[in-house]
Amino acid sequence: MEITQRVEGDITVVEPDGRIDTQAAEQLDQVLQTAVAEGHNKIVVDMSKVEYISSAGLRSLAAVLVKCRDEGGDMKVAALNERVTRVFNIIGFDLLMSVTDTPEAAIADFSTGATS
Amino acid sequence: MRDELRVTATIENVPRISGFVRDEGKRLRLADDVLFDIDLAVEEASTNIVRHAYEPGQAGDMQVRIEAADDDIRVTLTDWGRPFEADAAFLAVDVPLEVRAQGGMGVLLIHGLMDEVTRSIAPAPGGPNVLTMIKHIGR
Repeated sequence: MEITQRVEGDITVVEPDGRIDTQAAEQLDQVLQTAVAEGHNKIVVDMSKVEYISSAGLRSLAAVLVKCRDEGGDMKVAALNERVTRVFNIIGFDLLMSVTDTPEAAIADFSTGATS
Repeated sequence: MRDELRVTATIENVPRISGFVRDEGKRLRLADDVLFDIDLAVEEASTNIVRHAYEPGQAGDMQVRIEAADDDIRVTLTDWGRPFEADAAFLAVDVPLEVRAQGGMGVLLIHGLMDEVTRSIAPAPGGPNVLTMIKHIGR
């Protein structure tokens, strides 16, 4: 699975592309954990190219979010499609983390301090 | 109409199980949303078998079978090892992030994606444990 990364100010935007199955989740976890370890505690995960996510991917998002918040930052998730939204809702992730329609909205929320 | 695939229960074979399910789903002309749910539920269930059914170093199999009837799709996952102990705690929804960060969400996903989920546990070790997942499609 291809994962691209870019920086906008002090925010790191991570963009996985494709299916986050159990094996791809390990790869995503490495990218996210490395970002946090390097001091990037404000992360936006742009999910616009994600068509599928398994519980391994959800676990990784939860674990990285805990670390970001422990470091005084946050991790926001953006642009979930309908099916991924349903997966998030089944687990209750919509209540546990910021979910925005676009990565730009998540980035803006970091500036205003809003927790969508 | 039914078809099945039996493979060694390794993490590398989980994509083979998923691929089989997607191919069967297309052959059965399942709606994309239905196929998504079944695909994900099967990945979660087969991953649980890989992680829990057999002792480390002990080889064992897992088998997936898909059967289509008029109103539902029946998917069964069979293993011949230790039954997965999925108790009610796995279905808790109001759970803090720190607990989610430990994992264990597969069972909740399976129950949320599929309409009926039942387990049949073999009376003796080594006998087949069968997880049956049904999706109502009413076509």
